[in-house]
This record gives sequence, structure tokens and C-alpha cells, in this order.
Amino acid sequence: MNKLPNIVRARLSAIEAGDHPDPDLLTAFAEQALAEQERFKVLAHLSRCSDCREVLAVAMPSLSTAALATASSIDTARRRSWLHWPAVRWGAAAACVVIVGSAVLMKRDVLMKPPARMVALQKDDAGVTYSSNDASIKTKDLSVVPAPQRGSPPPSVRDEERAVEAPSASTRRQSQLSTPVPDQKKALASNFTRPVPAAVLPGRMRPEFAHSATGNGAAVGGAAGVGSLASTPTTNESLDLPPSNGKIIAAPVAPPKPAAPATEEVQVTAAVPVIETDAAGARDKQELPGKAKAPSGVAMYDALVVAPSQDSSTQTALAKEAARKAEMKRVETLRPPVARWTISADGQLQHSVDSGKTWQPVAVAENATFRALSANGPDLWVGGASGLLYHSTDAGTHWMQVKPATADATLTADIAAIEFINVRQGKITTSTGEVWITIDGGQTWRRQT
Amino acid sequence: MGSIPRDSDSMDRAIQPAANAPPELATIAGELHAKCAAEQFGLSCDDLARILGEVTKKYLGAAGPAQLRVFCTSLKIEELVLARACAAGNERAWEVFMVRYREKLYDIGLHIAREDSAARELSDSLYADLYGTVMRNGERVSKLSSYTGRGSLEGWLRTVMAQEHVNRYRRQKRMVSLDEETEEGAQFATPDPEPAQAVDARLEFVTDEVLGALAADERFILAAYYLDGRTLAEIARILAVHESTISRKLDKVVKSLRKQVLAGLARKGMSRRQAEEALAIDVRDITLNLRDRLAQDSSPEAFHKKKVATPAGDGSG
Repeated sequence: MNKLPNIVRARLSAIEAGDHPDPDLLTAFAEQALAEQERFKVLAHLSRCSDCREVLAVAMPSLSTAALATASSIDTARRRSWLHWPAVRWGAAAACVVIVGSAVLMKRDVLMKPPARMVALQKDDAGVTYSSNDASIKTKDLSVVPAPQRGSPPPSVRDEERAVEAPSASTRRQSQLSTPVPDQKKALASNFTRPVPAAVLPGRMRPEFAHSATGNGAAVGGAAGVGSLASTPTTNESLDLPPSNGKIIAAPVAPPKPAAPATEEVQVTAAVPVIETDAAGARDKQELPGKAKAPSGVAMYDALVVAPSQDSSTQTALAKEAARKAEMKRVETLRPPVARWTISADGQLQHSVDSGKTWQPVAVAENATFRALSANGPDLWVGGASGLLYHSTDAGTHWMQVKPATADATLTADIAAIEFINVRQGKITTSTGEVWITIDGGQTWRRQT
Repeated sequence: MGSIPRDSDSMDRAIQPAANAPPELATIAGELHAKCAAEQFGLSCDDLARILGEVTKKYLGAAGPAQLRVFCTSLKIEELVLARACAAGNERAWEVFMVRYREKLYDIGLHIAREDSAARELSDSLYADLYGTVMRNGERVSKLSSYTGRGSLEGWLRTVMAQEHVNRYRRQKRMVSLDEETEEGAQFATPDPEPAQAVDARLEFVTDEVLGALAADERFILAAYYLDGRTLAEIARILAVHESTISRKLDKVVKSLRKQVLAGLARKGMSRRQAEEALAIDVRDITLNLRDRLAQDSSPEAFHKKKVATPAGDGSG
């Protein structure tokens, strides 16, 4: 810091101070409660009066007290001036650009993955056999399988099945493929009479997939994990893909249009790690008209086109995606917003969900003022004058008045402190020195004097 | 705490009527009376209007209705009502005050005095003042009657206690015992040397001029940092800005002040070199490290050190 010339120091201390402001004004100045003009007057006096400066400095609360008590009283205008600082604003804009760019780059490998090959579904547990050589697809009902927790797929899941699934939070998966029952084969084949357009071409996924999914039931993976598997007319009656490309495509789609039941037969819902075969379920599903489901998550990444030769790369992409999401979730859990409770100067209960940055009043009872508070997670106790005591077990949503009493006494004194070591055991101290103890969450009370 | 004897008309005596109270005050007082807990402390709407009249007269003087409303609504009305009811001797108000502030008074005292017994003494002394041990015209005068609700009641208590603490410290500082003086060697102290040569009147004039032209917050920062020895963090807390803002502003003010003084001296007919010498070569700025100088002068040993006898068998002989 620069040295101040002694002549300046001497003349600075020799300035006449004038009349001293009263303690009210000094307090209001310290609490930033004065209007601009009045604040200027007090500040001008303080700049000349060492006595008042000393009193003000001594009277300032400690840092911890000030942080808790005056968190909400800091002048927002002054905070705003920091936000107006150009460097901060430009820095925030640059940070946004970097974050968005990083997100795009991280997703790029998944987005740009060529739909190289079809899923070669092998014989599953139910004994249904799917051929990967002739690119014919067999029916498999996946809708009845609940989605397990992400990151813990059962060992029975095959690689091919995992390649179809996506990590989004779809609740169920429906897939109606051909072949388990000859009757179904016929019915399905009759519905898939139009050829698959260029949607099944290898390479980047095309938006036409969405239209083909909802329009004629050809080769589509629906948004939000709901899609349709389709095939071109084949030589047999099963739902076969064109031999020329032999691919199953579950394409990313925006919210799909409602489809006509007559033209849409097959639906695939992504994000189901466990696939089980249920022939009866397949029959049930076939009876239902296909309907595109509303998107519920990151649909764009849910649908994949998988080729047998690129299983490992697709799985790597999925693993990367899952690891990234797990990492994001872990980071979020490391920084949870801390909920806090306090009682304002006017005796109102206040709640903060952002670690004390902002406070919202909580309505407990009309015209009730409180002076004591105890919080154990969602279990709250607030107390005030004349034995006023309220209890909430649901983080302040509902309140119940509690009147501690014993056989020969009732709590009527002003409550000065409430201490609960857990939701059951606690004590209340009154201004008259009484101590009321409960060990059953306020059901019964014992008084100590 | 014992009971507080009160007579029935003490409220009227404690709440002095405000002469020539504006009529708008009655409306505002009515609105505020419904919001605060004045009724439970025995304060009627008229009482509140009189209190508001007294406060507005003190701080606003003659003001328009809009200004009056803004001012009254900015007051800590509930705490003002509590303080005035306590001053008037309302027992219920005292009960509430005790619940809210009795322990806080000690905590504040401990924060200010930083020692338990001093904190007890300080808080008890203030409590006695709040209760009203001083009699004037046969009536007890409570310090709470001077609270006007501009800031919080807790903050006001803290400020009043800080004032009392500073006053006590100064009184004690003036009364130094002879034993302490002896221990400090005050009776052997050399008389003050000749005062330094008189400062150029032009330098004083220009410095006063530049200091007077500074903004109030700049002058406050200068005084708090260089005269009071406050840290940047303490000044930042008082002004409710960030510490780095104070640091930046302080640096800027000192540089600007030096430039302006030099420019002022130049206007007074000094050359640049003369002005810099006048500002920089103040004898009080010359800091001599006498200890180092004396150490250099007395480098030869004043006393011969005794030779330490070497233990036998250490290999030296």
C-alpha cells in the first residue's frame, strides 16, 4: 500500500468533526438502512470523527454473526454493481460459450456415430431365435420388462441387447417384431407393405426417420425411447429388412406425430437394459395399436443404429455417455443446496433452500411470533411467547400446535430455547427457567424446574 | 429479575405528545398499529402516532405526506413499539424484551469487551440504564426512550454498549497508576525534543483544500486505514463493499491525493522540485533506525566474555 505523507495524515486528523450522530443513525448506517442523502451525511461525519469511527468499528458484529444475521440485508444494489462490471459479464458469457461448446463436443462422438450395422439378436432366454445372417428380424416383446437401475445391468444382458438400449429414463420398452407366432407374422407383414426409403442408409441419421416412423411404420426409432422397428417387404412373411443393407434402425426423433394404428405396428422403447422374452406379452402387444410415446428425456441419443462390426465402438460410446452422466450426477450430489431455517427479527419463521442466500417466510400460524427454533431435517419445532409451540414433520408444509403439559402443569411461559437431538428426544427451556423434556417426539412431556 | 413497579399513567408520561404532528401521521399510525404488536403492550393508535410524530420531527422536520409515509414505513416499527413500551414500564413488554435480548446483551458485551467479567459489567450497566436508574423530575428515565427505530434494536443496543465501552476505556486510560508509570519508566522519560520545523503554510493550505475536495467515502477510507489502523476487511464490512474495492480505491486515492497536492503547490508558486521536497521531506517522515545505528557504533565488545572451560578429554589437548 502506498505511504501517506505525514502532512496529509496530520491534516486529516485535524479536520473538525461537528455534531455527532446519535446511536440510532450509527446503527442504521451500519445496517445500510439509511437513505442515500442521510447516509452521505453520516459518512461525511465519520470521515472526520475518529470517536464515531471507533464506536462504529467496535459495535460491528463479528463476522460469523454478521454473515448469518445480515445476509439478507446487504444492499442488493451494491451487489448489482459488481454484476454490472463488464469483465464479470463478459466472463459469464464466455463461460457459457465454453460450457455449451464442451457439451456439444462431448456429445459429438455419439451424434456422429455412423449407423453401421444392425442389431444381431441372438437366441434369447425364451428360445426365440433371431437370424443375423439373412437380416430377418424376429418378434420380441420387451415392454413388460422394468427398467433396472442405471449402471448395474444384469450379467444376462447380451451385448447386442445393450447396444439397443439407451441410458435415458424411459419407463418401458415396447417392441413388436415378427415371427413368434405365424398368425402374427402374417398380420405384421401385411401391414409393412411399403418399401423402406433411404432412411436406412448407412451414415448419419436422418430426420426422415421420424416421418417414416409415424407415417407408414417403416424403420423408425421414436423419440424418448419409443420407436418402431420396421422392415421392407420380404420373401418370407417375417419382418425382414432389405437384404441390401440389412439394418435395424432406431432413429432419434423429436416428438413423433401420432400414428394411424393401421400403419404402425412395431414400437421400440429405449433405455431398458434388461431384455426378456415373453411370447404371450408379444401377442398382447400385437393387439394394441401402435402409438408414438411422448418424449421424456434425451431422445436424440437414445436411438442407435448398430452394426455387428461396430459393437465395441457403440458400447464404448454408450459407456462414455453413462460415465459422463454418472460423473455429472456425482458432482451435483457433492454440491447440494443446503436448506436452512431461521427466525427473523420480527419473529417469523424463514426458510432458505440456497444455503442462506435468500430467505422465504414460512406461514405457521396467523399473528404468531417465534423466538426459538429447532430443526432436525424435515422435523421442525418453533416456539414463542406464552408457551406457543408448533411442530412440523414435513419440513414446514403442515404445522401442528403442541401444548406440553403434565398432570399438574402446563407450559405457559415464554419459550426461550428448543433443543432436539433427534426427532424424538428434545427439551424446551423457558424464560422462567423451566425445562420441558420429551423422549417421544412431543407425545408426552416431563417438566424440570 | 424482580417485578417492575409501574403506575397506571406512566405510559402517558413516557410517550411525550408531539407538538404540531401532521394529520397524515394518524393515518400512517393506524396502518402500522394494525401490523405491529402495539396493542399487547398497551400502546394505542394515538400513542403510536405520538411516537411517530416525535421520531419524524427529529429526523425529517417538515416533510410531505409521501416522504412521511416512506420514512415511517422504513422504521423498525415493532422494535420501536417494544422499546417505547418498555420505557413506559409495560410489564409484558419487559418480558418480551428479556426473552429476546437478555442473553444477547451479554453476548454483545463479550464481543466488545472480549473478557467475561468486563462483559458482565458492561451488559449489567447497560441493562440498568435501559431499566432507568436515573431519575429526572421524580420520574425514571429509561435509555430505551431514546431509541427511534432507524436501525434494529439489537444493533442499537450494540452501538450504545460500544459507546459505553469506548468511554470507559478512555476514562481508564487517563487514570494511570504511579506503579504502572514506574514500571514503564515514565518518570525517567526524556523530554520531548524540539518540535520539528514549521510546515510550510502553503503545504497545509493545499493539503486541507485537497482533503476537503475528497468524497466522503474516500476520506473515510483514508482515515480508517491510516489514522485508525483498520484493516481493509474491517473497512469493507463497514461500507458493505468487497475488500478488493477498498484496496483499489485506497490506492487510487493516495496516488490522486499526492498528484493534487503537488499540483496545488505548483499553483502556489512552487517549482515541481520544491513541491516534491515539501511533500516528501517532512522531518516526521524520516525514520531513523536508532537501534541499528547504535549497534554499529558499539560493535566492539563492551565486556570481555569469560572463556568457557573446555571439558577434559574432548580431544583438544
